[in-house]
Amino acid sequence: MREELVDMAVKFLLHPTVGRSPVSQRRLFLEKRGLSSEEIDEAFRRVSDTSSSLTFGQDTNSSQDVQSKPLHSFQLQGTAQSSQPLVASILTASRSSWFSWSYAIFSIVLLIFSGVGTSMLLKNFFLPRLKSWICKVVFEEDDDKGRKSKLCLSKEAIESAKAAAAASVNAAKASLEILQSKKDEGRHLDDLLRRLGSYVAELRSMSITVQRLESDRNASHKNPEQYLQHTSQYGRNSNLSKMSVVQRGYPGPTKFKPSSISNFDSLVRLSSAPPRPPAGRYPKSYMEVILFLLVLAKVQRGEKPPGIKDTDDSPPNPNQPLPNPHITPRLKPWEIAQPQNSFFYSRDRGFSQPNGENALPWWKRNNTNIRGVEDGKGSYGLRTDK
Amino acid sequence: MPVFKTPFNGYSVRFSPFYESRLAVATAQNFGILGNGRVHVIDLSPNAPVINELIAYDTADGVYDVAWSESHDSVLVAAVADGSIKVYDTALPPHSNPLRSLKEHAREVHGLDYNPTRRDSFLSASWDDSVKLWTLDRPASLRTFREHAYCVYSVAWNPKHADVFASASGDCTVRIWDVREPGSTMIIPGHEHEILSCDWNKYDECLIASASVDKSIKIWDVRNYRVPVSVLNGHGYAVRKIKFSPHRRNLIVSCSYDMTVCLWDFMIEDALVGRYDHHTEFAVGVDLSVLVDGLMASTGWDELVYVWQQGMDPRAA
Repeated sequence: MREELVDMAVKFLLHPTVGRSPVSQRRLFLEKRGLSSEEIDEAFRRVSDTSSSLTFGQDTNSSQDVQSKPLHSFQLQGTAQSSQPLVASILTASRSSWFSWSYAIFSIVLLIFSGVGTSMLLKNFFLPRLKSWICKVVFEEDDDKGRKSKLCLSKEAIESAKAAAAASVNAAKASLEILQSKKDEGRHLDDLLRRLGSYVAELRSMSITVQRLESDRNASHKNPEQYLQHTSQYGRNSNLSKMSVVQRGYPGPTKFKPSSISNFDSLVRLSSAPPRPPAGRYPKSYMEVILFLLVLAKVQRGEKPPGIKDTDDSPPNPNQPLPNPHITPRLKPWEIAQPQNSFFYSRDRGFSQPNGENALPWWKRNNTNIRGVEDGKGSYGLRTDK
Repeated sequence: MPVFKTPFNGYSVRFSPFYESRLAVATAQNFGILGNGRVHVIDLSPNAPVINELIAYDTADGVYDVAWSESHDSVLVAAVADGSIKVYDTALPPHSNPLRSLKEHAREVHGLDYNPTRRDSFLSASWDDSVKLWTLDRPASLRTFREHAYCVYSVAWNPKHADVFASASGDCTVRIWDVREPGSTMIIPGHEHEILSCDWNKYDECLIASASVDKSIKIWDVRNYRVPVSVLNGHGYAVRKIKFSPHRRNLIVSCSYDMTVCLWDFMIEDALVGRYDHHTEFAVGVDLSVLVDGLMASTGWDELVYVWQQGMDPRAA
């Protein structure tokens, strides 16, 4: 049994911070330090001898709370407070480090930078865009309580995500300063590493949540089970989601017989469609899709979309006689048993004078592409708008 | 090329068989899910590329299709989503319209076609799985054809045989009927997915095309319907409507949920001869003029109606 290891273990266990952590964690830590189980047991025995039984009882009672505390400390409101005990614990420590400095600093700095970077990315890039997009969507619609509350909800979520990002940045900075004060220790370093890792993970999950909030807004009016599984799979592609809604949503008595609209599998490829002309057209399309979804949602809830008038379209006089035809019907082009070139084109391709009575209307002009069908592709002279 | 903006989402557009410059547009509010509908009769101005609205008729429910009468130049019929068919006369004052309301279908009427050869009757295709035959002078349908297992989306008269027509249905088949026979005369199980539209070749009465949710258009010869004559691929999404050209033997126009209108020549190797992507939403209606070669019109859920000459850019000024 190595006496100095046991001594250090005893001092470790006697530390107030350690006393707040569960026993299993303490054991685990000591095992990681290379102590054998006898040494750990010896240390525990000595600690129980030296401290009062009451203190120990308190520790074990509070161990459950403490265990849940690291998890809850990452709630949106609690981030600032959690940094306090961390600071306190590091400052009051007086143990020598059990890790090499360079390894610790390097991993800490890496984690902090990734956390800072993620939060900055969220804050500066993603959230303002999301916010303005949501505001834009809301302005296009009518007032609706449900939607407003959802907007508030999403706004709140965005604000809290922002606050969380800011708080986590602050916490990360504080941790960095503390490290540089050269009072680090192995066990606290490990703890710190764990906490910073979960900061980063929390930031990542926050960004996913905000993204999902946005797709949930689209989906909130629809059958959640069916719809969310599609949108979460394929992300926020609104044409996609529109078609999936129509595909799945409406059996029986409603307007859209579902599968007439589209094959769902083919919709995935919309997101990888070839590049299309003016980007300015897309927002409008997405807006229409959102309107479409909202209409569907309203109908599903049994509400009527706005603007529907009660129109009486019944015939005012059901016995109204049919009119006499004014014009005798013309023969169809295919009923005229002549080659197409001669008849129609000699008639229509008038020799139009610039300002004469024989000037062609615009829908007949520029018809210079008409040739016989045998010419093949060139005869169509069509522009492909790509 | 002119554009006409409708207040509701467009569903169908048809050229008049009597007036070169006249079209009818079927529109429905709220994408056709729930709400009113409106039939617009629009006119092309001859001197300037401008579209004027002659008259518009409001309906209680969305209008899914519209067809001009072949016998009366001012009469048109509209397929309404509440299952009724409205007959309008543009020569009468607005307060005398509609002329008739024919309510027999149990569900939405999705397609209409007027007989171009005998000119006296028209067909309606409905989501209640049936097709009904009507004439303007009778208040009730003459025949009901009920064989499809799912919604009938489209119906088309044969351009040569006045008694023969085809219907396209969500049960993935095209059925060919003769009005003199009690049941269908042929069943073409053309696709693995719903068939949204069908049309006959105007110059070869044995060729019929079907457009499906599987993004393809297949051309069939009814004398040998096991194998398609041609398969036209190129649309990115379900093909909503097809039409054979009344002037060219092999030309087909199609519109699709990929927001484009495409022109095809199915007899040549590279069948796609033109593509127009002027719509910013589903393109659901397309038509070729019978009177003017090359004039075409399309409409979509972006509430716009474009009329242009084949070969021009529909969005050009």
